[in-house]
Amino acid sequence: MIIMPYHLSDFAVIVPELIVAALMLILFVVDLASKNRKKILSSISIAGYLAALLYSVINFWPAVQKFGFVGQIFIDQAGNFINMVVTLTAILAVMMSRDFLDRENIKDGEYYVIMAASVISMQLLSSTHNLIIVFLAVETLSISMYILTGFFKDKEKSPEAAMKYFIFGAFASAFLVVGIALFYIYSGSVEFSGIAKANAEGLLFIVAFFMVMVGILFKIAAFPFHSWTPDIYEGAPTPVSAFMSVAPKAAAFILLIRFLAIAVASITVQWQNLLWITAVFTMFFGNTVALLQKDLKRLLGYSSIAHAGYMLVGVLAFNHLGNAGVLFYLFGYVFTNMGAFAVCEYLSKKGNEDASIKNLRGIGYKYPAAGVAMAFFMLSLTGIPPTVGFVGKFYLFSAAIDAHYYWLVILGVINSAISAYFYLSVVVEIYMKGDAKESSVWLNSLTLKYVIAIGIAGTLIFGILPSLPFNAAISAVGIL
Amino acid sequence: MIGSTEYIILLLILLAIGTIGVIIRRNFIIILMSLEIMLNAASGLFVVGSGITGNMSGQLFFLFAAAVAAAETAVGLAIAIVIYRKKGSVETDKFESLRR
Repeated sequence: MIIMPYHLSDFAVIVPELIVAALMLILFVVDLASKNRKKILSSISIAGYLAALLYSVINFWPAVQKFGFVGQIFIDQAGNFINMVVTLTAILAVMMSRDFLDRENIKDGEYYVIMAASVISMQLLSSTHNLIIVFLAVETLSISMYILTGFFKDKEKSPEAAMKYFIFGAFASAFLVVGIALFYIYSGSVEFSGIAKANAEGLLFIVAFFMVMVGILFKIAAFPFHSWTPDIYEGAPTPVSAFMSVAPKAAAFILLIRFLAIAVASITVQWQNLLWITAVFTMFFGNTVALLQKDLKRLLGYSSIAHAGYMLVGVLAFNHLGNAGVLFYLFGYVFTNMGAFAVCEYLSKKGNEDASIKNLRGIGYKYPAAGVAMAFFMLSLTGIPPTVGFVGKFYLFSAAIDAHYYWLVILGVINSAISAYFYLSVVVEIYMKGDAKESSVWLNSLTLKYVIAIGIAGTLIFGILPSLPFNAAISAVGIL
Repeated sequence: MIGSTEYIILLLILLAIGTIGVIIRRNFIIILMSLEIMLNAASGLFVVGSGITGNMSGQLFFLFAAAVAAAETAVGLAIAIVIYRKKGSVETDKFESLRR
């Protein structure tokens, strides 16, 4: 008897991954073949991610889960939604890198290849119920990110950031894999449905749950596994920090939602208590420590911790509105955060990693467009209408009210008020009278300006008309 | 007679050794070794689990884990070389440019 483990039709469920994998191979070959190319790799990358993005958009409906590979990998609306978020982020990150790498004299061959590898892993992470595939995807993602973080190997901060990220990241994923092993020993299965069938009373189950949560909370930078974030964002090349602040979080959040909703549904009350504490500490930690920051990239790092806390509120609500709120928030966060990092990069000097907020003084007068853009992104991060940040927070908090988490919402709103202080102090600095630093060194890049423009457009349009992505998100969380 | 419980305890001790190593040692190479010990403990747990539950996915997992561990170590050593070139040392204490 011939055992056919999989059929050709199985490949239909991994088309987005295959597109990006093909992109990766093409990048390899083109990198080797063409000697004096002019930024062709970034153009190819954008085209490839655009193809994957379009595939996810076109195949978003109908709302079914299509399984393949003996049921181990599937594609559904939630997976497609995260595919969109990730590929969109990747497009923006590539556009940010295009002239930046050139200016910093970095050979761009491996850079785009490794970024494609990380995108594949995030797509896989959002389309599986199997913890072995989760482990492989998380590891591929982490290893790619270590390399990208340390990509500026001649600079002072970048290798150091890579080293720190490596130690923390490998530590967290070691716990993740031990957690998976304990789940396997306890329940005899590495699939979410198999784990859900196990008796959840045992000590081993709880230990395994905690260990897997370490791995996932590390990826979304939640308390108490957040401490790597500001260091790594500060040290990594700016486009990588931007990419890292959005895409891996999106993949990790959908994994978290699925894991909590399916695998450990039997201990819902316990994980809700745990996550309540985590969410509150994450929000407070991110926002209060951000008050002390002098460096813009570090500030955005702490801000991303705080935003992970807001999204945990949505996960905690554990209803459709909450889960859809998380997806919508991630979608809006792409535009806002990528835009903010793009402005940060736009104002950076060649070879100088200093991104102090002080350097922003007076740029609102000297570079009105950049000043307005930054102010706008800061308003969106604070959550002031008519921006997408406001709408996202509104959905998250109303989901929490639906689930009767009144105190959590009050604490969340207090946090938004705290965050207003440091976000607006950036705006104040931008419009402070003073001598703007010498002007000829700002990064002159057309694609970077497009990123800022896309960021503003997305933040504004989806802030005023959120219904299209929100309805998609609501439909997506119907089946997890 | 050694049963699976003893194996699990042994592997959890191995995990604890690795964890403590990562936390208290300051040399990046030693930290890499400790991380490797942690991953090996996990792979061992999978093999033991395969014996207990009687299905093969645990032993299959070991193959994946070995490949992943190799990739991780390769990247870790590459980072070690880069930071050694910068500072002439792989002691993690010596790197403070990211601390405020």
